[in-house]
Amino acid sequence: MHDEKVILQVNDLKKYFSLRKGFLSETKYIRAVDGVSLELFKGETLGIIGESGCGKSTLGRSLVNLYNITSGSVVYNDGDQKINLINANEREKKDYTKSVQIIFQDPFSSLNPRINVFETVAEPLIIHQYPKEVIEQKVSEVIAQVGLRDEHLRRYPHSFSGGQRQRIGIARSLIISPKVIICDEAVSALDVSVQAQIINLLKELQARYNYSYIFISHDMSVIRHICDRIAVMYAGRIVEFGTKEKVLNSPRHPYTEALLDAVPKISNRRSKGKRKILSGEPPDLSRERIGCSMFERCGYRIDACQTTPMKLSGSRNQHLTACMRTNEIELNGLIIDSKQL
Amino acid sequence: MQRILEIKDLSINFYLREGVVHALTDVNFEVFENETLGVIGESGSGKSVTVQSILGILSQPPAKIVSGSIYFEPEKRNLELNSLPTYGDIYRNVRWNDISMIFQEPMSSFSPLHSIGDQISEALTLHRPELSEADVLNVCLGLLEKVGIPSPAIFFKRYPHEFSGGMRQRAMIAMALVCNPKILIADEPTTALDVTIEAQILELLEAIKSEFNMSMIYISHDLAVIGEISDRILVMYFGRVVESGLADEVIDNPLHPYTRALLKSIPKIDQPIESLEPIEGTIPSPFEVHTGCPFYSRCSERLGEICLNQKPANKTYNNGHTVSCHLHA
Repeated sequence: MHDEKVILQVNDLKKYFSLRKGFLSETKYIRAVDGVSLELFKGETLGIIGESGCGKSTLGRSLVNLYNITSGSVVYNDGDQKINLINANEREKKDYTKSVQIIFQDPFSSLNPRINVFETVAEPLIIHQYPKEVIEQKVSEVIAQVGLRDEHLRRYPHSFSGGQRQRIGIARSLIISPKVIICDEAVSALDVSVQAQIINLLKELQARYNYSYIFISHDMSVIRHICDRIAVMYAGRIVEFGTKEKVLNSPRHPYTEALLDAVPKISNRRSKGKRKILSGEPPDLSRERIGCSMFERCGYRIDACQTTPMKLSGSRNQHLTACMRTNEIELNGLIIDSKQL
Repeated sequence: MQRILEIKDLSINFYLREGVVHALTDVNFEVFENETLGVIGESGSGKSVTVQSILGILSQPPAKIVSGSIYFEPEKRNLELNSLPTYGDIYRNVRWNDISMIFQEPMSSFSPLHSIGDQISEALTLHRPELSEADVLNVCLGLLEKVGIPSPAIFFKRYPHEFSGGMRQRAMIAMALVCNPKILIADEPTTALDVTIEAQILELLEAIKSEFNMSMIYISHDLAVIGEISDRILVMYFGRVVESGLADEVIDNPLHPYTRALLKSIPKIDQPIESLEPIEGTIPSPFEVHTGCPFYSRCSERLGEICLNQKPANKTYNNGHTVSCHLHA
């Protein structure tokens, strides 16, 4: 489906939020994203899965320049143009946002209630100074692509349902003809029966325009459905990275195993009680730690886990894991025929 | 098995300035002792209104019970809940002592101004005035420990903002249990939680339910969660019960087109990836009035005129599987 051309390269990205405690005491940091490296191929869908607070949304927002990155690099390269987000000037940053767009989670708060659909969708074009005739034509094209009609253009967000609003959000991201789209929990807030409509729409658009998606979600079933490769995030870091088949069928990190195990399964309903439920809760991100961030919750831990620095390793571009014990322990994935994936 | 709750032909309207919302239309179902009844439906399907009417916590007006009855313990006490004044002593006793509830958002359902301990013990001091302060504290600490809160004595004095989402939900469960209720209503208790925490809470509810010999009504929009926790399932759409039956029956052999469509439209983790078949259209506006089946406009199996104009009757099969659809006339 996708060729091996890297369109977005992220290296050791860090985003810390400072947390000032008191007047004289030292500043504490929340390490929301703590050294994430990944590459996105042209035309692929890369899934980022993790629980709330693991830094997946911060990562997504950093990638569209909504946050100033603390350190690391983000390089966009589509063959004609190469932009490094870190040392880009204003002009380059504008070009970057033209190529990398985001779809937000909440279709209710991400649209401005005071401006109508036309103005919402046309806004990126106005910012990038397109001529008026082009704007009108493009808006009506893109609104048709996402399954809305021209008569919707003069209405305001409140008159639309959740699914329709998400379509408007998608139209706003597509209008500028981006190459990379970050979908930050794009379907999470929707009703189940509408969720499938939006997933199918995103898939169709990708098939037609060869978009590259970074699909951020906490829902393993959705991730499995839409992604080619999966990165599992925990406490600001990627703990496992690989193709969908590898990650789901033979996970190499205990957290992935627990995550797969925790997902309620429809056809295996009476598996209750046999689960390895992950105890405890995610760690405090303001504490600096050397070893594995899952140490307290892990059933496979040994003392060395606490002192050995966490590092994502494995053969290049293959199946990477941050677990130092990965070769000593046996982890269970989903038991599904690989053809069915 | 004995019935502990019976809902008969319950219809509830909301009279709003914009018009009348038919929130529930002829809802019928029963809850048996020691069972878990899963109620599934999308937003606006009437699942929350149903349980709020059981507890008598609907604000009336704008809501009004137009017809039907709610019986508690029909074989024993046969209390007709809807005929009782909602602020009367009997209903007050039913709440907490017989039926209690866990709410969806652990963030907003606690008061931020009172410590968790005060909030948990409040119900107990009101409903068991004979207990001494020390006894109340003991019961609460015991419950907090039971729901898996580490060092309960410390957390008892803390405020809701010091708890994580999962911990708050645990505290809420402890609070619901203080008076040993016979029915626990859980309204989307895990929707706001992460999957690993969700798995913990589901396991906890399961354990608590058998330990306290309770029945549970579990509401969710997530079919997979409902499938896991329920003995029987009730499928609601637009204020009506469209299908009900044993969990295995409803999931493996769904009879109503809506249930079938719902099963096809959700991505499943443990089944082959086929392209998803979304349900076309959206949930009808709550102000709409339907003479026939409310699912008509989105149904892929509709028969025609009859579905649009005639209300489908309830059909019950031998195994207790009921469906309300003209396909099963």
